[in-house]
Parts: sequence; structure tokens; C-alpha cells
Amino acid sequence: MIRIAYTIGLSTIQDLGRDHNYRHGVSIGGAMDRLALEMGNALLGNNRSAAAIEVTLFPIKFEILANVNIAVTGADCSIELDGQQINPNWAFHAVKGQTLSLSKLNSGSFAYVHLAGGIDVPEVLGSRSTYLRCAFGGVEGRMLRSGDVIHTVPQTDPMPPIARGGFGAIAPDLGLTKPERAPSIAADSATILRYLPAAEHDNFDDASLDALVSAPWQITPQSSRAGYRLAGPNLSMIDKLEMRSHGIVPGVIQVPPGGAPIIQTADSQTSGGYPKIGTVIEPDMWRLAQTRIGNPVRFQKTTYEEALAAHREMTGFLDKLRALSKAYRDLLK
Amino acid sequence: MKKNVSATDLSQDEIEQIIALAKDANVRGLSIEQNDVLVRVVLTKKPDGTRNREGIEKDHAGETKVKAIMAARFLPQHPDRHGTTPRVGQHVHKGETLGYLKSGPLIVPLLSPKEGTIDKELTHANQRVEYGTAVLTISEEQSRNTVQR
Repeated sequence: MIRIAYTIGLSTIQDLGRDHNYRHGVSIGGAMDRLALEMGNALLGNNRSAAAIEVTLFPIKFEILANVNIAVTGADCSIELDGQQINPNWAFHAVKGQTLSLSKLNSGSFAYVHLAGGIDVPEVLGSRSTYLRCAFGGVEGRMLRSGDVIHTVPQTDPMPPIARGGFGAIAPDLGLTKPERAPSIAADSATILRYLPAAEHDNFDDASLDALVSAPWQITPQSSRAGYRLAGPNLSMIDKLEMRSHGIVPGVIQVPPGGAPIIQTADSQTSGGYPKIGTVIEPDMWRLAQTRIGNPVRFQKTTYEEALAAHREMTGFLDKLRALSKAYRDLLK
Repeated sequence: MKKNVSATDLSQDEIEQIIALAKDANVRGLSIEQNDVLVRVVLTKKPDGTRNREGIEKDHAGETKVKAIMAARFLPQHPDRHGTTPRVGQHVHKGETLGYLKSGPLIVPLLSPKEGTIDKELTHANQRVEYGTAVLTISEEQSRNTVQR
């Protein structure tokens, strides 16, 4: 059990979302960086979809109200337990009375604070995720506030306290193969996002298809958990296309009439009528989530086979982390 | 009894099953190898904390070898936090992080079992170590000298 001692807002409870209700028009929602959420749960031996606190604005401080194993994953920030530095992507034991603080964001956007067993808030439509737009899930459907007390799901076989020093995971950008930069793409710090052509891809003119992969795209401040709006060259179609609204999913790159693409993210609406030029592959969505507003991304066309290979690598990374974490915890019992 | 198990595609459930079977059979040492990952699990009959967690061995003249507690690669620094762990000649406190062991995506700290001075580094960065490999030594004598100075 922990208490939010200080927050400036925008932190919420998130798990892997509620994809079983998409057909009812309910967004999938859940963690923006699903890989980081699963990493924390793997370190602690939680259910893979256990809920955690998604931290968006820093600093945030927590008062530990009862001894608990904790993991912090995701964005690289300064993590301190009673003033002692904790490594990123790390699991450790905290005791009653200690203060955990996250501050000084070095890179990335979203950090996740996991408690052993997972955070216990009521499930709504099969998920504990907060859906701010409709004000349900999480803690009363809202952002966390100072003073909120966060409980954990009772465990039948709780893990013993993590041994002194804790343990952790390698950062995924070191542990996973980076998308290979095509020779034609300029070498800069932009995040590479691999995409598959979507239904209306071939309706865009050649100049736009070329611009999609050759230009850097800046994430604008108009971005949110629902979608990342990008600034760059205007994309246009060969002929005007009138479309009825149809189903869309996180990762879809829509192009509104203005020509500036929008990448749908966790709280994506369930349908839309804008043409879709591509879909960012799921294994790269965490890279997008951890790219800060104002920073550039670049698109790189990929194939279905490469997308599947990237997905297999990501799930293999998580499986290995879960298995090795358990083996290590057992080793120290 | 000791038996090496080489696996090509182990799931978490399979690993747990192997460990459970090994416990039932009183197996004390178990290695699980997959690609670049080698996990060596040493099982004790009494899960009561009798295992030496820091993997230390007191040698002669107050010199203590700090040993790897699992098969891994030795990293003097955390891959995301450079320049934060002590090196030869530096005084360390009990429980201080001396380096890291990396096995696949897992990183575990190598902790100082006692207060002293790092005397020798016996392993270089990114070197593969086995369970029980001495990684460095800590000297009590130099520690006392350091304190006296």
C-alpha cells in the first residue's frame, strides 16, 4: 500500500487495456508503453496485465504505507528511495515509512510504478485502466491526486522481500534489435517507426509517399494518449476520397484533409473516416510512446514478415525476462 | 546429483517445471542454456537463507574474493548509468554495488559483502563468468590502512 505524497497531475492507473469491448465502441486504452508495463510485471512475477501507475509528469512522490516489492520501468528518470538512487527498469523492496520519488526525466515520456501483485482498483469492462475521456476505470476514472492511497491485489503466495540491491532488466532499446535505418534515411536522432501500408496507402500521390519515408516528422503538442499529431510536409491524395467511418486501431496513421498525419495511440477512438496511409507495427509503438513531444520520428516501410519477426523478438525478450527473474528470485529464497 | 540441461526453446512454465522436478529429486545444481543465456540454479535442501547470497569466500590475510552468484557477463557499470560503481583502490561499504551480472535481459547487482578496499579486479568488462568465478577481491588490511590515513 502506498500513498501519493506529491503529484502535479496526469498520472493514472493503467494495465493492458480492455480490447474485448472494442466492438462496443470502447477504446482499448491501457499503458502507452505496453512493453514497459509488461517488463515491470515480469520482474515482480505479477500477472502480465497487472495494473501499474503510469507517470507522465515529473516529479512524483510516493509514501510507502506498508512493506512492498516495487518495480519502476519505462522512461529513464531519476528514481530515489529515501534519497538513494535506484537504477532504471529495476525491482526493489521498500519498507513502511520510506519515500519513493521519480524526477528529472532523462529520456522517454512514460514511467511505470508497479507494486507486487498489481494495483487493486475495480475492474471496469475487464480492465483497471483509467479512461479519462469517459471518466471510468482506475481511481474514480480520474488522474491520481496527492493523498490517494493505492492498494495492491491480495496475493495468495506473496513473493518474499526482494534481496538488498534489487535486480532489473536491460533497457529495451539495448536489449531489442533497433529498426535498421534505410540507407536513404538521414542519420539523425529521430525515432524510427516501421509501418505497414494501410488500405488507402496507394491512393496517396508519389510525392506524399516519398515524403512519408524521407521527411522527419515532429510530434506536436496537440498529441495525447489518443493520438500523436505530427508536423511535416502535407500529404495529399491522387484523388479526393470520401469514406465512411470504419474501425481503426492503435498504430494506424490517419491523414486528415489538412495533410498532417495522426498516429492513433492507446486511447484511440474506435472508428474514423480519414484515409489511412499506414500502420505503425506494434513492436515499435513503445518507441513512439517514449519519444517526447517536440522530438522527431521517421517512418520506414516494413513487411509483414519483418513485423512478425520483431513481435517475436519482443515477446521472447519478455518471456526470458519473466523466466530469469523468477529463477533469480527463487535462487535467493 | 548434478545434470546439465540444454534447452532450445524453454517457456517459463517449462523452466518452472524443471526446477520443481529438480527440487523433488534433490538435484543441487541445474544449468539451463538457451542461445546466449545460461542460467545456473543451485538448489538447497533447506530454503532457509543458508545460501551465501553474496558469493563470498574469505581467503588469506583478510582478503575476500567476491564471486559471481550466477553464470552471466560481468559489467563494471550499469549499462544505463555510467561511472557510478567503485574501482580498484576505492573504499567500499558493505552492501555497496561493485558491478553487475547480465544474463540475457536480466541484470543483477554484485554487492560488497563487507567493508573494505577493492584490491584486485579479476574479471574484465563483458567477460563471461560462471557461477563461483571470482570477480574481484576486497582487502580488510587496506581498509584499515585507509581509515588510519
